[in-house]
Amino acid sequence: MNINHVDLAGYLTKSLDADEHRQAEEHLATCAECRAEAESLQEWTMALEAVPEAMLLDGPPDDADLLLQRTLRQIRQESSGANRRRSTLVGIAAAVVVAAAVAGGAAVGRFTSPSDAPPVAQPPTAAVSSGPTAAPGTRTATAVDATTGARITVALTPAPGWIRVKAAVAGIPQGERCLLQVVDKSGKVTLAGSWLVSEAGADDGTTLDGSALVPLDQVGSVRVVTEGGKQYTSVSL
Amino acid sequence: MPGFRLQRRREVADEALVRSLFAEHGRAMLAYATQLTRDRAAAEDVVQEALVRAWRHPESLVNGKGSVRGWLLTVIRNIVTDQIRARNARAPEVRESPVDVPSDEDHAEQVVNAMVVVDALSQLSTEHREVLEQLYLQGCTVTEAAKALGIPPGTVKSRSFYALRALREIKSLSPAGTERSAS
Ligand SMILES: [Zn+2]
Repeated sequence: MNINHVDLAGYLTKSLDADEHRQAEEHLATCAECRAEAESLQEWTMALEAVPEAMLLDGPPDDADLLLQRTLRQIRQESSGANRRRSTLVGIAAAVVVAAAVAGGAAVGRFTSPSDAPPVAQPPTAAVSSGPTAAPGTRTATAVDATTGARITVALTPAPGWIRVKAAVAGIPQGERCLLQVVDKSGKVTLAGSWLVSEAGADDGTTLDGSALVPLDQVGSVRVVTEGGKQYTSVSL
Repeated sequence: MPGFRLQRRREVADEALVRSLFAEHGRAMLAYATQLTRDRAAAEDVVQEALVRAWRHPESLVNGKGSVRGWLLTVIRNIVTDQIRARNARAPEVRESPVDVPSDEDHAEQVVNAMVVVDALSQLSTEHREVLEQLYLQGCTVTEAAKALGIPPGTVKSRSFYALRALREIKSLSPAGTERSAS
């Protein structure tokens, strides 16, 4: 502020005495420059006065336990509805295990014992895609990364020109910022989802629903990398 | 079956997310929703819906540019704005208290900026933020603010003046400036 016609700071903080205040008002009535500045800053003082102090406070609201309980009940109901959708993936993962066992006993998709599961370059997807729980044309695959120990099971369901991507990812430490990427046969990378690994996610994995603008027959692989570029696991299709 | 265990753990983690959002931001969320709706019961419904949206899209909480609180408050504003629009769309047919509807909308527009202000305040220096909180949110006089902050009254005046200018620079109060992608 390089004009000093009037004590705007005093005016805006309402700290002028009656005489000073009257003088300030008289000046503002005649000086467009000061008036514009005062009005512009007064918009902000009024906006500040309209903010309830509670909006700046941390903590739960008072007397709102019922609100929390109601909210938790709603998400439980919604997630039991969503379970029916997600169980497709669970069923597929189970089918992968069964198919792998039939195909020769390779330890694939065994989320509970990662250490003895070898990396799988070519999961037996053909045997699985006809499984009873899979949507028509769905392709699934599972892989365990030998270096990181991270595991992924994916189910790709075709849509015209794109795919729905369901993935279960486990074995990634808490706090990692992860990207689920679809790599097509020419090497082009498309993002299908991203997440932050929670404590529970680190212990027992994370399930993801995503999508990618890649036709199913063009998918080369699906992989999990961090924002920093570290690859945790990749599965070929 | 491993898959079911995975699912169960996911549900536990989901509940933990909602509980922690509620514990940390619930007061701010309900205060904002109450100010927008002027109705505690309606505000609680809005907060519930906002928490459910956060649960459905946890990735947007961590991937957004702004603060988690900013995201939650933006969602609350969007929910209330949608409700007002829906009510206005119905109003001509049902003709229920037509006078109340536009005044609700005006009111919402006036206070919608609270979310923008909270966001902008969080970007000020601590010195600037404190003096504005004392004067305009808590309604202290310059003398009271000076005592609370342990600085001379003259400093309260000049600091608050520069803080207001900084606030103005951070964000414009125009409606376009309040738009953020969250739904
Ligand atoms: Zn002037």
